[in-house]
Amino acid sequence: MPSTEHLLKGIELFEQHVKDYDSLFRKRNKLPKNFDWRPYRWCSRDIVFSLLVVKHNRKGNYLEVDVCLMSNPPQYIENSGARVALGFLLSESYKCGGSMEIVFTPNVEGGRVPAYICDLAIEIGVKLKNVFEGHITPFEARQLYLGLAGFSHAAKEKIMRMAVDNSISPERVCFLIMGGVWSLPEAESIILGSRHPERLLLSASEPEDRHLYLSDLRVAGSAILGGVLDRKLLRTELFEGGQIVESEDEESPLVIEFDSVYFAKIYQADTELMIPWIDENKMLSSGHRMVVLVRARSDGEIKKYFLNDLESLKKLIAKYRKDATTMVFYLVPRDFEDVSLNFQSQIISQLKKEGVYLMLAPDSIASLDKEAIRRLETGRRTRQ
Amino acid sequence: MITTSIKLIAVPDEACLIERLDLRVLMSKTLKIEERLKKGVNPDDEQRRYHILCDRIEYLGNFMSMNESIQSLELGVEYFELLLQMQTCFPDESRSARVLANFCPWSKITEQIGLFENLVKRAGVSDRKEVQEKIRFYRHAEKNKLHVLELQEQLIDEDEVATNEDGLVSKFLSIPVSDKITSSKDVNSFIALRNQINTVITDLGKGIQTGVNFSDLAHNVITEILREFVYQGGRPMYLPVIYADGSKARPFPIRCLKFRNEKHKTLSSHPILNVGMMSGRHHEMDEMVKVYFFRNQEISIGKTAAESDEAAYVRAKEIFQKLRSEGIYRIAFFQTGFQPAVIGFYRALTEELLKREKSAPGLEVTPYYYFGEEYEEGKIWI
Repeated sequence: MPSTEHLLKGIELFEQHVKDYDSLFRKRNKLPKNFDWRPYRWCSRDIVFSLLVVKHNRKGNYLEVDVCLMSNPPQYIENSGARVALGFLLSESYKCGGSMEIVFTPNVEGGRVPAYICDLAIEIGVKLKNVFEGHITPFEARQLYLGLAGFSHAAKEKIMRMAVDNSISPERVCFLIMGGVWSLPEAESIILGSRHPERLLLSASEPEDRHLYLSDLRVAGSAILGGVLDRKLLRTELFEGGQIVESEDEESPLVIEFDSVYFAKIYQADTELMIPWIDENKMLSSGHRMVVLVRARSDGEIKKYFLNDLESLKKLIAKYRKDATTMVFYLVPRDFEDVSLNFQSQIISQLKKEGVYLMLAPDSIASLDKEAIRRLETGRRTRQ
Repeated sequence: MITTSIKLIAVPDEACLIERLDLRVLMSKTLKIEERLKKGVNPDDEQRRYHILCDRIEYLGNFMSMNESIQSLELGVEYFELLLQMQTCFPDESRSARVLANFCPWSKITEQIGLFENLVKRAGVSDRKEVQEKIRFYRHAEKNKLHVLELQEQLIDEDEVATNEDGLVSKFLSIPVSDKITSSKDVNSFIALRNQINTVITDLGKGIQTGVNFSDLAHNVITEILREFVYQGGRPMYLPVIYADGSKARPFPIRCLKFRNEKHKTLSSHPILNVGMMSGRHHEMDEMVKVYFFRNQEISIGKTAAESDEAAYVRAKEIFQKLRSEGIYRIAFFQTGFQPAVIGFYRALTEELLKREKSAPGLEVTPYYYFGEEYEEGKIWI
């Protein structure tokens, strides 16, 4: 933990940077460049996690940090301030096109890598070699970034394999998640659930290379469909001022896993959750599991592939319903409603026979496509 | 795991019209967009239109494929993998042979299947079953005046993928990445860029993936230091170029030219043409120059800095090629600070001078760096 003297000095310096920033940029209605000092305050409601001032050092091609203050609020997970700060520093370093080296100026705890970041590095299992020189090397940054992103063991292995094959850098994969292009579970679905995840994550296909582009679009659509359900389940509503509002920072405690064999998602909640988009009121009880077969299919595809999907569902049941409390769902977009009524009822009755619930997402294939195009476009503008 | 399979269908002319949608019209419109995309004008809009039209073609194709009289052929998942392989090895040829397109009107079949046959021969996959079947299908369509559509299906491959690869972590950790710290001593910008390039050259030698970040550097610093490395002795090499938005540009050739004073002397009697770097940026420069090298509109089209760099490079190459047939040019290049255009210009210039190395001197460029009201003369490129 930094000394009181370092803390007070850091806060004073941060305030000075904010004043400078205001007079140089905000008051002049100008935007700063990467190489200008930029102050950031990372908060959730009234809790400050981190105060940072950074700039890209053009001469050394590294990220320079002049203020790096972090807090560890007890109501959040261990090292939460350092997680926020380090996640930002690594992403900013990547975004600025730098070498990924991070350098702390003498104003940061006397010029060393901050103690909280060192603690976090130990937690992640990365040994920092230049703590007292105040440097994090690109080699260390790579491991920290991969550790911080929170991938499952299987996804991490695939990322390492892709890096060894030189098909995509781990920094880019991490940045796509930290930068909000893909959520972690969506990225896991892409990485584990498709044959060429690197192409999609690199936005490598142009629309005129139709076969490749469409294939990426379909995988992206499936990942997004799963992501829509994740967000629906994770969403927490609060009662504030007589109104129900969606919490910005609190999510339901939910473990999300991915079964790459069936392209299915497995959810396990630590609290009771309402299951959305099904015909009846069902709750996912605390400690219980639900397995969702995700199929982003159009009405024609639903008709064509339903029997295949039913087979997959039967295999999923055999795999996961050893525990009788596990519920199984078949998630499709609302294009299902365009299937003939006769076929719809056949599907529903066959699902019922197997004890599977039909889950109808509010999104259509067209809207999933639109979102997939947007994300591929964003990825194309992101550092390769 | 999701996999992609491809199926061909052959559509006779009389089956092309379904309700108000005419496959022939859709294909013709899509082909026109392909032509426009080659020109690079409004690529975003064109790509969006292309996607919509392809979507409609696929919708029609899927609808038609339900008709049992329509001939079809399943090429399977492995054919898609083959396409990927071809696209990776021969990206330009794959595009011109339209192997990744989802349709081929009858009028283009002869040309397209011919290009496909050449490409698969070059790729060494001409004896693959899927390739042979596709060629047969296209030849049949050619003979019977049929249009061909290539439709995709997403399948789920339920085979387990082996994980826990032995030694993967150590292989990952041994990927060359710099583990050194950079001196944070404040040096001037010229020395800093020189140091950065030297570090990148050393790292490249060790197999470390790296690049020189030219963003946010002053244009005179970039030009003078690049010139130093272009005319430096040693093993010629390409310097990887990156920008602050993370985009990667075409590498820059260094250690490839020799400066000869006699060349400069030969040209010294010729008149100098004042050329501005880019129009519409600094109007105060208008009276200094006879002409601008780039039109702002042509270069500032990229979404990323690397795309602007590429646009500048391609345009500069075209101009230099044209100048070659026009005789001797001594250019006073009044430049400003748009880094991607600067890099693109000097990359093309270096390549042009390299091409002209063995012929009589015919091109000389002297940079003049614009700093508000003053112009500072840089070192000659010849």
